[in-house]
Amino acid sequence: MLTKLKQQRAFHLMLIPSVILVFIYSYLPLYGMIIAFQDYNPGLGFKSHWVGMDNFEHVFRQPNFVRTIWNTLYMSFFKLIGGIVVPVIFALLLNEVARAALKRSFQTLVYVPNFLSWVIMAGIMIDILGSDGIVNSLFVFLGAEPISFLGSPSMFPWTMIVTDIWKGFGFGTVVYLAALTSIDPGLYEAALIDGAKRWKQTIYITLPLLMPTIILMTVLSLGNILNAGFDQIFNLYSPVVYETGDIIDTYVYRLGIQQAQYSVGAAVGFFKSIVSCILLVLSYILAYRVAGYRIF
Amino acid sequence: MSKKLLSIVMVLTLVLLAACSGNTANTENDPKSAPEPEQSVNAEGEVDYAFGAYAEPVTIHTVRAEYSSAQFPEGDNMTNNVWTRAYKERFNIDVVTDWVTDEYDTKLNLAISSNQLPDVFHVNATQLQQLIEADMIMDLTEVLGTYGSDRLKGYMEADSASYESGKKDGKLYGIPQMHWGFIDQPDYIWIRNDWKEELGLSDPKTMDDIKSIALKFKEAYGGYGIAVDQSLDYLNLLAIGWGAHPDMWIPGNDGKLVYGSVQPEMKDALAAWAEWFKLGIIDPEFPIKDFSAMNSGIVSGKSGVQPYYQWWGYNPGVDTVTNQGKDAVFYPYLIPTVDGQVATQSVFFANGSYTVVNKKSKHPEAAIKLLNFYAYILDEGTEKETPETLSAMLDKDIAHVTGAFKIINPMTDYEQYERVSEALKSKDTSQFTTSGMWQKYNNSVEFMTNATPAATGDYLQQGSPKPAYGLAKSILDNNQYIKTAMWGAPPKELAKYGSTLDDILTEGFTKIIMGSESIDYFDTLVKNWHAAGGEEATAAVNAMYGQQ
Repeated sequence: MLTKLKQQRAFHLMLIPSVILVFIYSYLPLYGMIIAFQDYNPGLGFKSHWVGMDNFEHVFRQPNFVRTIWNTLYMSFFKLIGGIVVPVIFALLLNEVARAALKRSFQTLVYVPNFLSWVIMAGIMIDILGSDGIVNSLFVFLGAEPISFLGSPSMFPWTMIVTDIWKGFGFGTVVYLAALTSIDPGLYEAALIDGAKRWKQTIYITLPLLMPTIILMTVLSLGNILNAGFDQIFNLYSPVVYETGDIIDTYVYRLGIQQAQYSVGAAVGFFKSIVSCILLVLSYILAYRVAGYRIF
Repeated sequence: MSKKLLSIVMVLTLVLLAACSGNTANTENDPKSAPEPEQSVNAEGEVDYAFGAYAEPVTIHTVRAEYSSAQFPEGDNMTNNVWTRAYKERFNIDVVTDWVTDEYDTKLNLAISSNQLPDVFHVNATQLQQLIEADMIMDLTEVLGTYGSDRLKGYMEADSASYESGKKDGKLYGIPQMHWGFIDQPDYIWIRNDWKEELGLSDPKTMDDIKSIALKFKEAYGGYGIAVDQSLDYLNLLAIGWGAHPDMWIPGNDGKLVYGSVQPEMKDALAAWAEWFKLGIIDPEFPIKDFSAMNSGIVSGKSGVQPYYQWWGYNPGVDTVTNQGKDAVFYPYLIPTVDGQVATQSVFFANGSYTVVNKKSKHPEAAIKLLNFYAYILDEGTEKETPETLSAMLDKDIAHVTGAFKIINPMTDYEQYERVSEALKSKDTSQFTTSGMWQKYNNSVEFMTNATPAATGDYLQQGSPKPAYGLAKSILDNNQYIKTAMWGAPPKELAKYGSTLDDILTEGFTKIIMGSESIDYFDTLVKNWHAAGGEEATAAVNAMYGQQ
């Protein structure tokens, strides 16, 4: 043990700055969680009056809070699934493109939206999806009824899911393409000799070898399942779609942050952290049990 | 070995952190024991409390919010400018600015919780309550009495309700920084004038007139009728036509305070709007339009009717004139009731911030002197100071950089309008006492002669044939308004709900207007609102602001 430490001294030294940063910015602030149990007054600071679980009760008593949890999970779930399936398929397709220049330009093109913030993207979306935007103009041209993508409660969640996947799938594609290049070409040659065609090769070689990366990406994103995308929804929603589009974060923004109700905000943050933590641990155990995969 | 090193680094970090945060113990003296500072005397040999300079230099600390539209001369900034130099020259007060930020409320909350407050600073109504509760700010009742100039005290009398809102248990903790006056509060229905004249329509006298004007505009010019947005803030301005006062706390029939948005009058308004929506005279896309989308429809000529505040001419007026020409200006009309009367307007709590003094400060009176000075410069400067001095202090938005040492005459806009409208008739500008009067006058003339788009705002507010302030003045003179009963910070029980109580109503009202719920859904909504916390909030508002 000691000799091993000695050998790796340089690595440990290099680790120190990040350990300190994590300690200061992620562990010390944990102390601030106590304001979730207080009636926080900046003047009194952490010496504010203790109110026990009042803040939690207040939030959970809100008649619309349950629907925001449901909306959050609903949109998160489909964003999560789409966020895995779409990039994997796209990476597989892109991998088949023979000409390197074409492949690289596609890769760049689908990656670009990832760099634009939702504040900008929302403006573009409103223009594209509005009643006289391109999409609806096309529908009208083809003789269909225009669809209110952002104004109808039944369409709104799916608009969010699809646009979010569209914006983000470039990043996943790059990750999976990188994983694909690490697959030993010898395996494909062997499969070819055994008579496996492209489809069989994909099923029996590519996908199993991609699995560790897919699981890693899934486990990492499961911790975020209670974040259904504040920047996206906040910039695109309106009162008429609260019913299906309001998520925990946007709700808490209106409940707590706008009026500087720190305790309420802290209570919801606390609740979210606990749920996310449980989900993260569960998915990690599951990944180990099912796929024998572990990060550490 | 490396573990040891790690732990040493950790310990060092902790020690450093503790040193940084722990070293703020208060070593200052008790302010009460400080002797009254020596000040200069006036012509009669009495101590000049309000305007006298200190014999010894006095230093006070403050903090400021960034004011980015101020254009400072070379070398000046938020902390060192013509105002801070005047404080030194005229009062021997050194004002030190601890920090300047564009996230003022957040940074101030941080300063409050770490107990690193300056001597004088400005706070919002909620922060005022928190600071009083935490016993961190000074009772200014006596200081204001001794040191306040007559002018300053006059401001407090002019809007005594705001003055009272700075008090707790009879003691004054926050000096309200006031506002430009209630004259900017009445709301209007703005109607595009070239369209109205082309179609030969007369001024709206009833709600039905507004409806028919919107319909005729739509037939003749296309577009979508009345421009409103998803927040319903603009459509709600029309509710007074049905006698409803949404978003406002008003006395109900039994004298108890009630919330205007859940009263039966609101149901009548919503029923009418649902019908309007069906007829296509409210923008069918309003549920997904925000403020800027609503206004861009006006600017591009898609709508000629908009319920709006008095500042229509500034935004979207400037852009409308730029795009559609000067004849496309909208004129304001007082909102009529359904039966053809002038509707009773809503007046909301107008005072945004308060100047407060740290309990540990040794010179609370210095803050009062500087407030006296600000009021003097704004109201008397034109007579008593040179034009150069005044211009340096007020123009290019320099007037707004004074942070906590700013106070506005709540009669400013009213008096200004009186003088400007008089001068526009008589061409006699000798009665002008403030630079604001000159600005409004010059811009009105500028628009009339050159149709300069940038002057649209001042022109439509004061100089047009139907000036918004002219209508507002008649509302004030005839007492045709009611003030919100919640004149000050919302009670804690209400603030705790953020905007979620209103959201329930906005969401439901939108559905009623769009026809996806019938008008009877209103009763369900009111029930939901009460159950969701409206009941608790109503009780709290009554406890804090109700009749004792």
